[in-house]
Amino acid sequence: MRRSLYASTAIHAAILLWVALGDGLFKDSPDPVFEVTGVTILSTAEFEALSNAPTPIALAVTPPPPRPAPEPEPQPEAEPDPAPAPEPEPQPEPTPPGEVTDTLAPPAPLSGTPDLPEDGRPTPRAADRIAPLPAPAPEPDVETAPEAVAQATAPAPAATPVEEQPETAPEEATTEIVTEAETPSGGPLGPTASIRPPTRPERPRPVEAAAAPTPALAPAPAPEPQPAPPADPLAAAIASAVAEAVQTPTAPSGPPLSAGAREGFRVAVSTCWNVGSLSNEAQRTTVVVGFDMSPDARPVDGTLRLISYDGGSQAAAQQAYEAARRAILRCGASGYNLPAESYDDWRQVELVFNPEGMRLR
Amino acid sequence: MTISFRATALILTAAMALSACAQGGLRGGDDAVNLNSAQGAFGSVSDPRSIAYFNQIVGDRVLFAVDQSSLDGASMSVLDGQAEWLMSNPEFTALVEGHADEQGTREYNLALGARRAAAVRDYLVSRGVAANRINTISFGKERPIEICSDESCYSQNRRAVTVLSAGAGV
Amino acid sequence: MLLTRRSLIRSASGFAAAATLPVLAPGLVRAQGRPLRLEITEGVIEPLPFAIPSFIARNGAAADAAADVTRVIAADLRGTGLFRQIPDSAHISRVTSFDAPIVYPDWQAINAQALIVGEVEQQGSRLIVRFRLFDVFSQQPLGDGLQFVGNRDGWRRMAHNVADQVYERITGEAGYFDTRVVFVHEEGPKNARLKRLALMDYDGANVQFLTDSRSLVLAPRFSPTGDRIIYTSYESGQPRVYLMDVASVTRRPLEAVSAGNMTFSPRFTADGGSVVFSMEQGGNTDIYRVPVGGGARSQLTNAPSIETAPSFSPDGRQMVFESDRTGGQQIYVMPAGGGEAQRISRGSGRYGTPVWSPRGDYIAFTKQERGRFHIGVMRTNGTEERLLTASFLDEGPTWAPNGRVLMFTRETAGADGAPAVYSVDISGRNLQRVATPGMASDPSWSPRLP
Repeated sequence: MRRSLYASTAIHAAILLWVALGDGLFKDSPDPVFEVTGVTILSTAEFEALSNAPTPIALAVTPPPPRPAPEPEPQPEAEPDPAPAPEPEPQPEPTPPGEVTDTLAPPAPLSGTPDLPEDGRPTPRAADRIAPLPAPAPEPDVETAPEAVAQATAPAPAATPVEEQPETAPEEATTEIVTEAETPSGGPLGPTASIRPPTRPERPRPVEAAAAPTPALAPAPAPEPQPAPPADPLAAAIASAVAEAVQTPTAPSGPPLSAGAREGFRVAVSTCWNVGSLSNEAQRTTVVVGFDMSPDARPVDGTLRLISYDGGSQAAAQQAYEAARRAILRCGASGYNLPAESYDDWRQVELVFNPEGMRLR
Repeated sequence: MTISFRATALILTAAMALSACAQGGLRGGDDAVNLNSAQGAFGSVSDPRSIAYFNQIVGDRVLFAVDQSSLDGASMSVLDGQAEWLMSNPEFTALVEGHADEQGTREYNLALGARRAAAVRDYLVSRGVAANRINTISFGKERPIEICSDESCYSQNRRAVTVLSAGAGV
Repeated sequence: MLLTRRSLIRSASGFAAAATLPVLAPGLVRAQGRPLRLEITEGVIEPLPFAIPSFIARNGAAADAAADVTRVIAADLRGTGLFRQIPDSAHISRVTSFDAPIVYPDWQAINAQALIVGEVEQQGSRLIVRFRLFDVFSQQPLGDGLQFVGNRDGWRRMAHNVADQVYERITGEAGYFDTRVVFVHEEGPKNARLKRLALMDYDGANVQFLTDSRSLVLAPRFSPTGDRIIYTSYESGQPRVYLMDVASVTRRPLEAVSAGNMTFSPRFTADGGSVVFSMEQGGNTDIYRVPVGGGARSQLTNAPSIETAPSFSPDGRQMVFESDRTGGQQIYVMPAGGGEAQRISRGSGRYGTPVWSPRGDYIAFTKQERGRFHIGVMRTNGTEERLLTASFLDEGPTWAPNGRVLMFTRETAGADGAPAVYSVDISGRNLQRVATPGMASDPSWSPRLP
């Protein structure tokens, strides 16, 4: 303490003396214009090295050649595994993650929780996964699988050498993105504070669809003070009814595809349709994807195609199409749950992937 | 009016040294006026022509309300004393430092600090101090004197401090 | 050898087609009936699972680089929150050669949706990195294989370039990994902070100091081409705007300003040819513009209030800034050349530090309300406001060059309060702290490096 006082005193005295006796204190001296800093840690050579942009060259060797296939192969793409195998057998429909019903737990207290007055609007808890239905966090002793569906898409036991899938629980999911600013309870923000697409109305759904989880309905957040969007229940119901009317008579044989089966199919694709890694533009792009189905309700490779798109550029449509394609192939890998007797109704499929309701969710 | 680069640097150095010193004093006790560390270099408090007297008896700083740069009655009386002292000690020049609390964005607080410093300078000039004896600078929220994050500290940080230098007018 | 239903279907349908079973021949099927048409409106938003087996070292010298490059690519992708890495321990296939055929079923079985395969070769001081990206479920490559050639020392940049390619091919959005951030490194106690300009890779690696800590420095900003930095320094005594050339680390005051006039809050115009900044005179702060190469200064705002934090739209036609002309800080937009300013912030609280997105679609800002700070985004007309963060003190957002991620300063409360740099996706997801050595504030994101 004393020591610092003396030091302080001495320094102040020295400064003041200098100021007082210094030459031409307030005389104008030319402003220094250019200076080179003396603290350069980064030498020019180092900088060059760092800045030396790697040069990209497209590889002459493009994708590896298809593995030589012993038998004639009509498809141009690489055939991964020509080995013989048992006939595909019907697989149980994968249990969609959303089937686990769950009353929303109160939002987890996060550090830095805003101490804002409650307004009663429940905010879903934060989770990495945004899905139509919330799923609880996996129990601690159950390993989270890369994907709950993986179990169903895993290779048939006969062909699997050793791999054993650990029992898995669906990944924790929430119904919408929860920003830090919204935890725990939305806060007293005005109507402009947080734009979130309202929950989609439920489609008309007959009773026999009981097996199918309903996609849209999370425990609904209390209505926000926001006008409902123009896209709404009525139009959806009409569209759906019209589509049904149009479809029904086209089945030349067998019973027509029930609305329940149709809904189940729609939901099955939904659970694999991941729009999270798409650009904002691609998230605004609706794509129509056509494909054929085999009688065991699997999408036929090589038939998937982008029929049309709307709302974005061609590049964005390509990304949106790729995401849709992944969804169709991934969730259809073990066959969709569609009645074989109505095959004529679903041997050709066109799916409209409309992400509007998913954006910035 | 221009000040040479060197002069400005000197003033700033002196100002920062002074304020660092003042902080030591303030942390020791809560009395913002009684700066017990200011002895020696600043002369004796009992010498009315000393910087120590100015800092401690006249009062070298005024405080502001949140987001405000207006001077209240108490501030004006402190500044009246500063003006009087400056006029009777013409060999000193003054640098008025404007500061803000941490509850604001960096750039806005810089501008707000400048406003506070200007308010003090304008008042001193209105009381008769020559304009060319007073310079201003803003530190925004970069140099808090109290470091807690509640109003007891914020109120001390929303300040304008008059720092003296010995030297002729600009 | 592993089989999945996928390959079975392929074999079956191939066989069927060869046997001309009409029921499976697509052409014939299409002739009958109408396709089943359904609309999917509910999907999921979750990280896309990817696998990146360690890149193959083409020669022994490349072993370390191969491991490092793989690690950085994976970290880049994971860090976006859009991708999830499937751990190597779950892999079924081992990739032993860059050109080996991909055994898709093995990757499908572990639910990898994207697969990145690569190799690294070292030739003297040169490093060659090659990679390919595959869409596992459609069993197709995504784009061409690419090869990057560079200095051994530049391996991080090569890794970031690979990650940028992967990110672009999957999301359709430009990547932002091969970028740098200029920021203020801080040391010392809260009431005597030392501040220096520093530069780092976007992920916190390769920190370099650009100034010493003798003078306070504030709020550096990159030029649109990334070769210059404009910032505020107290080195002359007064806060004053300086221009620094990044390659040579030389600096100069932007222009001669009279003593007593503080200049601060600089930012380059969209074309990089000029700088807009605030100048304070007699307590009043307005916004000015001056050509970088010298020339007449023009005044863009003229009001008795505080006008600061200017930022240009990427097309250069408009400028957004903050002003307290109606009392508290609010955000305004005006024509770049001057003219009527329209207030766009409409919520309660105070709004500052607006920054126009490089894509032109949003304005990021700091909001202060009820003693808390938020980083938020709004449309350029002020609609669709969305708050992304909340804390004791968040401020000063800066955009990733693709306009999808923000970095900002977060400072904790109290006597030991310290600033750090955080990033957040503009959807509000993926809030995370950027790994800086020590305290850091005022980040500014560079464009993609040339």
